[in-house]
Amino acid sequence: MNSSAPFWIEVLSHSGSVIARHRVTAGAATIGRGYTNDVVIDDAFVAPAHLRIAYAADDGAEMAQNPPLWLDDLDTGNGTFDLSSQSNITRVQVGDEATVRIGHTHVRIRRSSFDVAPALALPQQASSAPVVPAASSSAVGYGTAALAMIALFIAAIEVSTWLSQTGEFKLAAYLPGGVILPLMVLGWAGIWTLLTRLVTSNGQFFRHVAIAFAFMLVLFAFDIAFDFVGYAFAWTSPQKWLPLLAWVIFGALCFAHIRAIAPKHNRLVGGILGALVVIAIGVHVSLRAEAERVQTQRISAKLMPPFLQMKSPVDPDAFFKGALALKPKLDEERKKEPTTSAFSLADFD
Amino acid sequence: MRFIVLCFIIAATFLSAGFASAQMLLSAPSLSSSAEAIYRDAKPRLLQIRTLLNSASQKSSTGSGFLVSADGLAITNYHVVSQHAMEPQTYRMEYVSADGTRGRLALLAFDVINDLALVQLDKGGWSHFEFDARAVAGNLPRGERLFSLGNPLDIGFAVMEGNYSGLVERSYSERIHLSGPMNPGMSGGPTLAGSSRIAGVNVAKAVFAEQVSFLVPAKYAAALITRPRLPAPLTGKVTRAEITRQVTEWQAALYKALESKGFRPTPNGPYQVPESAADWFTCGARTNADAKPAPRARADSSSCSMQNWLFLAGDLFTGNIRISRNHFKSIDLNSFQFANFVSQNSRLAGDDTNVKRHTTPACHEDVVVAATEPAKAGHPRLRVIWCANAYRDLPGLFNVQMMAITQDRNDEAVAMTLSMSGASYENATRFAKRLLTELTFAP
Repeated sequence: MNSSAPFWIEVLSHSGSVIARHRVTAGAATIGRGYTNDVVIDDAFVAPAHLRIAYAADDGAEMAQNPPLWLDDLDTGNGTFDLSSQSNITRVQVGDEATVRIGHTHVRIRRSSFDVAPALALPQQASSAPVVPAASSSAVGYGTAALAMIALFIAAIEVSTWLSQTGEFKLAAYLPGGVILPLMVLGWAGIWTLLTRLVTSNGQFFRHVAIAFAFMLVLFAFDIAFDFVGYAFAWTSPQKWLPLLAWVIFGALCFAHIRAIAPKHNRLVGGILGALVVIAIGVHVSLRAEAERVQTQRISAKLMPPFLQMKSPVDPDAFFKGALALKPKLDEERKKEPTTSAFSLADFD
Repeated sequence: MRFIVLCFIIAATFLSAGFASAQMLLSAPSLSSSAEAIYRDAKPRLLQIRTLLNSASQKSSTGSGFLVSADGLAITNYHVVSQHAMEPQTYRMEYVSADGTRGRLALLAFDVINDLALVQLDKGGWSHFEFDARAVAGNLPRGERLFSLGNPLDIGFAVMEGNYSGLVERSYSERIHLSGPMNPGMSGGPTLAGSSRIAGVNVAKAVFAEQVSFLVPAKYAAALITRPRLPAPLTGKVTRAEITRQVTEWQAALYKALESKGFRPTPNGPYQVPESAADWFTCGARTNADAKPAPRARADSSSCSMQNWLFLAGDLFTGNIRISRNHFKSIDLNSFQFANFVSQNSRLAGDDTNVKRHTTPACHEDVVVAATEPAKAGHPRLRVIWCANAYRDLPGLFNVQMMAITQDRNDEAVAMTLSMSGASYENATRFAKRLLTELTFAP
């Protein structure tokens, strides 16, 4: 036993950062709520004596090099949950490391033979220091991505603003897209940074900025694509689908942000956000159905330069055949009682 | 734009309170001695016609009417009795004669095209009017003095003098132009010739104009008396079926007449845009050429409207046709900006949509090019949108809007809009198709 190497007991937060760390040199240690333990944990769901970690009894020469380290549950009521095998255990052998949950506390055991990753490069020393290149550094990677996204977003918005201007030049027309909207998106990313910082040790500002602007770009691209499809293929107002898609994109955006805070709960977060998106779309559909019935109808063909027209034209006979096809639908609709708050996807035919 | 805005001169009671206070400012009109005689003679044959809310027994609206037979047949405007006609369970009708006699009225027949109704009083023994033979034949001389009678603003029977100014020009519906005053509450009252006989029925006046009033010619009132009676008891369903029958018949004749009149091509840049050759349209034009700041694209528009609304209910008018065109030409806009400019100025506004009366519109959109006959200059590529809604209460009648925008140049386009209310689907499609194929390149 005296030949055994020291090992470490680490108490972790739920996001995985280390709250307390104890070095064990005696070859064995106990963990529990009682003060007779080597590591005392203030968790009411932990037994007074909960875990024992110790090298196996010295009963063979082969162990001299790397004796097995065992973790034993001391017959506790709540038991011990092994996070790597996702099962309750009474005894488990610690390889390089083992992470268990006792009560509500996560405890990690690491042997001194545990290999840590090389140091990350500091931004200004990226080329000189013998460290991992910046490409794999998430902080720097996200920083570059965030700046690229912001630049791309502002450029796209301003070009589109310019192409839609029909009056004299007004700086005010370019401010919302180029300044106010990006600032709002930065504010949004800032809120997520604060939330992330509250829960984990790192706010990951650039990651949130990159996520937010990437989604704005996606939304913007869909907006343009819908306009284009509506014009090029003569669809009647495909834009009415955009708000529904926007809810889906917004759900995905929140999912991406939350992943930065809690990377381990993808299914739960995805499920909740998915349900919220479905509810939001439902409410949106019902409100719009009402609005469509109450408002006087306004239809505008969003026109583009004629060279973007993709659909081959039909002759008037074919067009009016299509117009006549609406008549049975209208006759059917006429017989229904007018409603003002229908909650039905049928309105999207 | 030189559009006449018509005002149907029914008086809703909540309005008449306001008018009553304003009347203090007006001096009493000086009547000629003939007006005095006419009034004295006509007074016992005049009626005020009231629509009452059944549940509250309170006036909902008032108009006028006149007796045409000793056994109590009387004529008024359809729009005076429309609430009762559409919803007999909710509204009932009552008459008040000049001596204060009151009684109930029954609706026997109506003519929504000429805005007339025939009603039956609950008792007989009345003196009554005769029709002026010259008026029925349409032979009144222009300038002849006429006397309009009725109960304006529910403040008592009155006579007002005016002059016959012929039939309203450029109107598909026949209406007499009366140069004389007319006030709310006089709707359905008679306008008499000097003979004390009926020359026409008060119906409307032009607002934002002085002493321009309109009468339904006497011949339509005379014809109504012999019309088949509505089946009793009167229900909303009976009324709606009769309205549907009348409007359907009327629009069939209208569209047939329009098509036979044909179209007049009007040049708009490189295009020729059709304009109806029928003279029932009132047109107006507008440009942005003198706008400040200077526009970056020109937009010259013109709009022709029939101004021919049929009153069916307080919230339901129909029977109009409007054809407008907008010629756009870029000054310094690039092709995307110009396309956006055209979009902004080519909106299809459903101005006739009312949830209670119409269904939600259904639309159809496509790119259209008409096949060109060898002799013609050819058809431009068009982006066409067609939106239609149905009248809930009038099966087979629709409101339709169609917009066609030329799509062959980056810096010039014409948008043509056609709005039709109260048309059968077949007539609407046939007329629209005709119009669409008449939009061509200039030779």
